[in-house]
Amino acid sequence: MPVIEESFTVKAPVQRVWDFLMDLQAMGSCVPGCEAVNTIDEDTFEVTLKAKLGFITAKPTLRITVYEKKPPYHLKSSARGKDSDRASTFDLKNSLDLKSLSEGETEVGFRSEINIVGKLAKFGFAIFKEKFKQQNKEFTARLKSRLENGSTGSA
Amino acid sequence: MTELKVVGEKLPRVDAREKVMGKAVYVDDVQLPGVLRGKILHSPYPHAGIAWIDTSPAERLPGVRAVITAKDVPDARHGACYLDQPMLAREKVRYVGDYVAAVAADDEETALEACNLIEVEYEELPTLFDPVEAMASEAPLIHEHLAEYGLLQPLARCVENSNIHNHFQLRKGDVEKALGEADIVVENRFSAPMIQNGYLEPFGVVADIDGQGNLTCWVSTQGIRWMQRSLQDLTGIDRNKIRIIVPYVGGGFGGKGDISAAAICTVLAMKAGRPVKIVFTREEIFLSGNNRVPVITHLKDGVKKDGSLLAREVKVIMDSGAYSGMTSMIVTNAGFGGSGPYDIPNVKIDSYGVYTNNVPGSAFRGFGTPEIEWAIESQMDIIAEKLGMDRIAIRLKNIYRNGAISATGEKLQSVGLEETIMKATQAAEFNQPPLPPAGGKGMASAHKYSMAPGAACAYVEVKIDGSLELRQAVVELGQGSNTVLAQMVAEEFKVPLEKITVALNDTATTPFDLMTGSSRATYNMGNAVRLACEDARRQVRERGAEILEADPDDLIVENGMVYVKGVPEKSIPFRKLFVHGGYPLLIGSGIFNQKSKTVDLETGQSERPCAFWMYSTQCAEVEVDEETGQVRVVGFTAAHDVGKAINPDLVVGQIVGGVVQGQGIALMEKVEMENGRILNSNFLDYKMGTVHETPGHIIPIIVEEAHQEGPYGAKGIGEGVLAPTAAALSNAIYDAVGVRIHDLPLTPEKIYFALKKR
Amino acid sequence: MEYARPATVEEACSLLALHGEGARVIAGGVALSILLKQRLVEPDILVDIEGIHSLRYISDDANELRIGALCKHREFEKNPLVRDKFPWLSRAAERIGCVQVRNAGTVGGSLCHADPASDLAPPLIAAGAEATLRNSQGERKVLLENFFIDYYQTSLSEDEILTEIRLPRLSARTGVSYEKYAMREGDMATIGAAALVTLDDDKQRCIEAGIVLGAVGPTPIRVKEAEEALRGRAVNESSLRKAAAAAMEASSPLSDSSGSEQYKREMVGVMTRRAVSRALQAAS
Repeated sequence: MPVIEESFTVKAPVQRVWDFLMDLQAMGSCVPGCEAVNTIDEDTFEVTLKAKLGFITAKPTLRITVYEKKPPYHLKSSARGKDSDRASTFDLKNSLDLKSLSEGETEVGFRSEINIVGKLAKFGFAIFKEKFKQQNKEFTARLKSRLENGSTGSA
Repeated sequence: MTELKVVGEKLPRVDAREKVMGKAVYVDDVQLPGVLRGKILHSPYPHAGIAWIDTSPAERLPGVRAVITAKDVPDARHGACYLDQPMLAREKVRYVGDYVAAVAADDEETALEACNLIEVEYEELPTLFDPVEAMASEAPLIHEHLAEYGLLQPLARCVENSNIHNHFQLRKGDVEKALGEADIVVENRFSAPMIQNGYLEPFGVVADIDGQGNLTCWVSTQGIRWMQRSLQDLTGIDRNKIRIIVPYVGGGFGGKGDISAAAICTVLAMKAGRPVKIVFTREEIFLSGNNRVPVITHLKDGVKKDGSLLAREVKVIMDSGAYSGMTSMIVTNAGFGGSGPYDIPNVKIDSYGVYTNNVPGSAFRGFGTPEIEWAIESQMDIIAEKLGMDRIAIRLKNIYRNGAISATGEKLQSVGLEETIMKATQAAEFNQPPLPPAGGKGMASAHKYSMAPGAACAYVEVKIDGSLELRQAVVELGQGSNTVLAQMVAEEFKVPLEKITVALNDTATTPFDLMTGSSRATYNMGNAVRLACEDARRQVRERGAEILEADPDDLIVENGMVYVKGVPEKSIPFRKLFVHGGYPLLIGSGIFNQKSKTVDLETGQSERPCAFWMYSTQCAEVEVDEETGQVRVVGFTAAHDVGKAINPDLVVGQIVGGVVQGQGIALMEKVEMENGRILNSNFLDYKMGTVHETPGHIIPIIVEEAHQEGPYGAKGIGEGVLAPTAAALSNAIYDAVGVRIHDLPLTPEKIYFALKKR
Repeated sequence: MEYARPATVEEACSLLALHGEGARVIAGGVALSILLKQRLVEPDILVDIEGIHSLRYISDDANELRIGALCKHREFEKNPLVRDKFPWLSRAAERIGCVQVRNAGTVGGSLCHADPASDLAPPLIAAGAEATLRNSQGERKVLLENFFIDYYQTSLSEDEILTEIRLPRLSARTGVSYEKYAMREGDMATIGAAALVTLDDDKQRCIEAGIVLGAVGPTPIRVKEAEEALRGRAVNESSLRKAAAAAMEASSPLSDSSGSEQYKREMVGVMTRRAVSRALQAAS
């Protein structure tokens, strides 16, 4: 299964980065193709994503459950859901680690194990992985711009 | 023996015309009124508990007629050896693809949509994908109740509280001592990956239950009676109410016949009250667990300076995946010949069948032998090089010949191995230098057993018009069995082949046959057919004797006539046997039951572990592109000892087909799996050899070292063809560029990186 | 799913404009039928343009070769004009799938499907081909090099179809070659490498170069650094090595059942060298 690992630094203190990431609407606005975020309870929420890869459009709704949380440094979550046509299942295990490099600088590291089952899995994992990488780059860029330009939602 | 007229002739296949015209009927051609389409929901997880299943959203979908899960079927399991596989996963799933639920609907689209609507809550369990890890004592158990499972094969022995479902051992002489006395000891590890059988016709089944509760099941399978028995066990329908019809089968190679799917189809038909058809997609064929089991082979050989093999220690690990399928049997049967076709005084073999959470592997043309021979024949070349010995010479020094005592203690007969070596190497001009700059030649020899015990039965009916109908249950998979068996009937009655019809395979009319596998049809069913013919001829003579007022023993049956020996002008046609004989029923029956001798479970010793052995030698010539690692097969020579070729054209067809298949297997085939999930379950991503990769020329050579107990001396051919192919190619690549690959397939990438290291 | 079979480009374009995202164009169906079968693509309407016979031609106008989008690969491969004046293109077409695939598949369909492993895109890009795109409003031209955007994505808008490929007549002393690496003949390219080389009057130096890779990135990749390694220089072992190294550097192959990333990158080097060497031979 594809594993995505990414780390980057943001010019913002660790607490602010953490708070931003915990603000679902703010965070959601950084996720490419994020169409809706709904909070179910404190540690559970649902997101609907839309991703296009050439001729394929996937629109999965994922239920994300946070099962390990050590603010403001560490978070583990799992995400599961089906594509809108129900023929593909997504299953992700995510971990997020923040490291304070200095007062105004934080290293953000995240890792996702992505498991796709069903129809979309036929398409070839290699290309999916490539697409995830692209999306992650975009996410990183948006996140940095939001945090470093100070225009965050709640912080 | 009298002169043969039909046997040994190159006659066209009896099914050629209808196949060429597209009229031959396969399972998917069976059309019943009101038939529903069935679809199976597969597990997305390699190992997970099933917490709950909610089928109600699927049931609510218009057009859905039945939805079933494990709770709708008896708590029973099937298997070839261990009864370890439920038709639908019960408490847990064991591989990605395990059958979880099934739907019957008005059409395939609706059935598929309904499958997607079924909600299943899984709880993931620890997984095992490496068979060596799975063998470890602390490994989590994939089958917790292995020791309690029913066992159909007395030769299999599991290791309790482990994932090892069979451990076969063979002991001859003292290997430890002999290794100490050897001049050189050569140790290597080889592997052969999971591959797909790759037959053209997808597996299909149609189940129909009549008003009296009788099941009729049209199914593409190689094991009719096994299917019948398993359907009884799985569905609870009495065996006498189960009728299995097997029309033409479009290839099987050991992997045709998904018992779970046939049982699912039956239960769906029961629940829906309408006939149901399931035809697999190519992806589903990969998931159905009838792929070739991956094999790891360790060899440790002690050799004297003169090239004689003193000792061979063999350890074989077969990763059967989630269920044992036929792998337990493969472990034992391949174990019998696991030291290769060589006369070695000290042999130690340990072969293991191991559960993992991979997609199951099972039988494929050769039943373990090609995978082990791949290792052995690579090793033979390695030894020859270490000793500075000629590659032909080292084989001739050690091979089995008539009268040799095999590793299991069998006194061998019908050993045509030396002749295959001589003829193949001559035809291949093996001693001529290969083409420069990067050409190479390689050879490999092999043996392949055919299983025993096993029974085969046949009926031959004499008809009023002088024709004969053969009723038997070897499945015509394309191998040509209908033609070969019809030729035998024609020979026995001295009539032209056109006079013979071979009945459709149908348990209502065709008698028992163990299975279509292990290259056993010609020998076993051939013997049954000859016995049936003998019985029918006796009846013809007895009836003719009454009309001709002669002694039955003085009568000759020939060309649709009966006459007194020496007085052919006073002959009567078969018609008269009926018209003047009170319309008798002239049906001869034949039962051939090949026995084996007891196998000692501690030492694997048996004076007759199998029916017969086939021997072969193949030579390959290749060219390697040193910049890319790509291999082009320039020429191929294949000599095969078949005892007696009943139809030489069909033997040649088997040899050429096998070489083409074997070459694809050697060079490119591999089911790619990642954490138990198949990544290339289609023919775009799963590479098989095509006509473009077929060698420039293939020279087939038939060697006939008659078997005393075979019909007309015949043995078999089907599986033997694949046994030496991979090693012959690998040895040729080594000869060309000095690169030795230990893990199949011999991909350009492996060769390229090995060349860089050279 | 609806199905329409327009007879004219105008009719096709208006159908596309009407249905937008829900419409899919089908021509030979080689790629799309697999996606439909696997239900990876589930359009509302299938617009079958195979009946637009006006898009099936190969002609040689003054300075360019014009290929109608609905030309079958097989026609393209066998066409005397192409074989005679653009033999390299005919040879590239020969490497597509098998005869059955080449009899079904169209040049335009293959390009619009935008599989990065397409055999035609690299040599056409190297030779400076241009694509004509049309919608109800009119037509526009785009260099084929700029036509591909991402995996299976082109610059076609929803209401446009590709109608023609135009290939400029090559200048004198120009050679083009397409080299393909695949495990089996007839497979999609694992590596595709096209090279164009134009030599100066005394055939000593390369004055123009084009290097385009296929199957090793989201789109065909034009390797400018490799071209620079050749342009203005004598083509010798050193410049070949530099071009090959640049191509390897520019490629981003993915590990899959055809080979690892590392092996594929090595093969990019080998195929680039071979393509440049053959192009050079053809130019001399």
